[in-house]
Amino acid sequence: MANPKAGSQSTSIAELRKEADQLRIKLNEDRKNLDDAKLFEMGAKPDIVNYQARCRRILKGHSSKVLDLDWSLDKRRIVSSSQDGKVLVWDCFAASKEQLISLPTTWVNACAFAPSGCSIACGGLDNKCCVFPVNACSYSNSGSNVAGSATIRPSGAVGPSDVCSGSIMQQRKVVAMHTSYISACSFTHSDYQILTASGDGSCALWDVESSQLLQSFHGHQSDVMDAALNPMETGNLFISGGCDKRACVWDMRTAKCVQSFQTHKSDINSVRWFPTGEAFATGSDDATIRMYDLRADREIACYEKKSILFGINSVDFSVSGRIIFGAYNDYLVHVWDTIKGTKINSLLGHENRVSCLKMSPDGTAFCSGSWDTTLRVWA
Amino acid sequence: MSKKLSQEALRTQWQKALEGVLLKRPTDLIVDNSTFDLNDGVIIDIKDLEDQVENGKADISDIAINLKHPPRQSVYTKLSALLVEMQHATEGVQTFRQNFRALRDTSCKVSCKERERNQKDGVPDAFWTTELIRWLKQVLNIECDLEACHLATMLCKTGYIYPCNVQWNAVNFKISEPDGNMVFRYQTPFYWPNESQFPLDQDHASHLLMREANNHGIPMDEYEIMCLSRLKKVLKHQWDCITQSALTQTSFLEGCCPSDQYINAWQNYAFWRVRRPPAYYKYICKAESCLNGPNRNFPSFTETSIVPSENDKEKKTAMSPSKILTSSCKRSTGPYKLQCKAWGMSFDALLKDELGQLTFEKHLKKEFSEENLAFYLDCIYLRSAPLKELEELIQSIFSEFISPNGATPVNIDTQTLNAVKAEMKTKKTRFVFDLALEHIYKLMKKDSYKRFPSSKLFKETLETAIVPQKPEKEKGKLPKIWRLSQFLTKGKEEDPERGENNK
Repeated sequence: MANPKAGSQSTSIAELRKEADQLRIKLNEDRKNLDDAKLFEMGAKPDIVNYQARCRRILKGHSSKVLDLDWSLDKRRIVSSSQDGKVLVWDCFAASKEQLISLPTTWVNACAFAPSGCSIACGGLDNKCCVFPVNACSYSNSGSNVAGSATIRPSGAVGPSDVCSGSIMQQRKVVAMHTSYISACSFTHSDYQILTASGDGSCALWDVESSQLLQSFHGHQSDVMDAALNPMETGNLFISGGCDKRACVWDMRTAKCVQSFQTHKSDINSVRWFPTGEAFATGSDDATIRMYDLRADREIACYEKKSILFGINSVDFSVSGRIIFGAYNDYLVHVWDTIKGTKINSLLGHENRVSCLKMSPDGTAFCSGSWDTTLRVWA
Repeated sequence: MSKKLSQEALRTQWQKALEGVLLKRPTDLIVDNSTFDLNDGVIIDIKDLEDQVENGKADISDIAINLKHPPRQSVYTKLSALLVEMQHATEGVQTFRQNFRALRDTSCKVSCKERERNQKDGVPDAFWTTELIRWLKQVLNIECDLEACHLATMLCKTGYIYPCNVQWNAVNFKISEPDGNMVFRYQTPFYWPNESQFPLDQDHASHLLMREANNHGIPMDEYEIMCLSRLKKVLKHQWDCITQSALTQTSFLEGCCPSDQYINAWQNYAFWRVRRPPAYYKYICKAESCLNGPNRNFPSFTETSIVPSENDKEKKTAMSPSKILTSSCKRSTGPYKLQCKAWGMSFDALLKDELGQLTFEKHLKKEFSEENLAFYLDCIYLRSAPLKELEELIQSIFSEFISPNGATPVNIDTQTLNAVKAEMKTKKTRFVFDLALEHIYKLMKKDSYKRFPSSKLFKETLETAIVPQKPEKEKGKLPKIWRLSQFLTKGKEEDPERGENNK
């Protein structure tokens, strides 16, 4: 009796699939009815913005592809990780290296700076995300201790800047353990929690001191390539993008996927929030950057051009949100006008794929890292 | 034989190609007598495809899924589609039969008879750079020359087209201007990136052997010689097989006409240039030396106890040069002008900034509602606090701000208050005060913040805010903040970058 059962199973699956498709079509129609205006049409009114940037610093020191980078909130330091297992902390203003951490694994896919600037987190193919202390803890930016602020509490762990891997490895703390590689990690609004995205299809929230898993988010059907936390302090949402072409919005309190968008045609490599925290942009292998709005619940803009064929590894917004930067595999950084949808500029400088791109916290410069082993700071 | 395809039909072909199907046209893709066949598993006859879609048997996406294309290489699909377009007889890039003689290097050792013979044959389907750039600009709507040049460079680097009879290097190859004099040919689809992803070392070795025997006008460069010697060592046990295969290939090719031989040689050369670029070689043999950069004496610098700033509480802290520089910079204790303006425009900017928090606190003190801000900040801290502090934090916030018996209860209505109390009883998570938090946030925003930009305090701060100035520069030297020597203890004239030599 196995055959008829199998037969009915497969027909019922086919039926269910049809039903799902029909529902999707109906949803799209309903969304269309709520349309009022297209973003690019509205964007035709404001003036054209001219963005010129030159490469101001070239940071050389990695011996292999640079995979990820992050700025510190003191707007001066950058941490970058590369394929050879080395994580470097740079002073981008002086173009000098401040600290080197040598990990035993290669392919460090993700690195992040803590808000206080006292520690960094990094992870990769070793399926773990570790937190290391950084030299020279920063006190508050104004140079004097602000005792009243409850948000910054430097952890005070200081070690000598050491090239030798022995002592720094002793000071590391293994925080996150996944069952597959770590593709993205970032600190939440303090030094004590980390959000990680992994190739095993889940995102997770960890407590740094106890290395405990606070919350895990399942829902992607394939590797999750990037996750980003809402920049609003009162926000509870974070977004993730994965190889199943979906971008999901999660609520941190309930661990549920609140919204999900699937309009990309290929893997999503990077997700970034719009500065106000109500929209986000995703960059994908299909050479388009798409912007989704949470309140409109749909894709509101697609930044693509016929002549741009190569996929995007990383996107970031300018501080006002008017400009989007995309790090493409054709060795260029393309600069788009968010509301007009036109390409403003293309920055040439790298000699291999641009793998990561991040705007500095004050918006005066951005840094891009590439497979040609250098990082470039543009302004 | 060549169908005259209309613009419409051309576009649908392009679309289909983009969806992952590499098309085989009735027209020849490349006039090429090479021995390599178009890989059958990937190419689908366009007639077949149209039939299937018409009969409803298949959906384009279904077919695409069943094909061999790896899922993440959508860029290769697009590039293949672009190449297919380029090769179209009338709408594509205009090619010509290049005079063979004009291409050959005069230093090539070929006998006179052969040279005469070759004059009649030409190398088919070659095109100049200008033509390529013109076509790219036209079809892809590129306005800027440089962009088109860059795209053409990428096409070359990924291995879809190659320059003829030139010794080139995939790593630093560049088409810098549209009027270049280079001649290109299409690479055979068998060699396209998405067809042959991982070429074997053995094949590389046999290719290099063939090059050694007869280099067809392009002499072997140093890198190739090094590669060959390395492969000889590594593949010692298989060397006989490899030499045998090289010999078989050469003898087969000798039967073909000279133009075919040259085409074959160029194709192989281009293929291996892209797959085994010189940088690849450096990769595997490189010593780890690059980390001893200009900061090699850095550790010694930080270990000395140079701590200039009097603000430093922990004298034993080792500080990096950048920290020393920034902490000794003359920075005002007040905010900067732009910072101030941002506070006036956005409540969130005010709250994120520490100085902003202080200023707002002062403002609230005048209105006797400073506990709102304190509650807000504590709640925000609670959300990302470490686990072990969670319990007591919740307790302290509750007793201080929520409970009516507390020191500074915040102004929330009874409904919210009861909701928070209920939450406290059922489950104490870090989000337990969220309702109250939202209420207070809205209150601050709509009420206190409304009056903030017009308040005397804010106006005064804005007036006294400074605009950052460039550091003064003494004649001929770096500005004072850059000279590290000022941090040394007096009496020693030493350059800290060279490290402490005497203790």
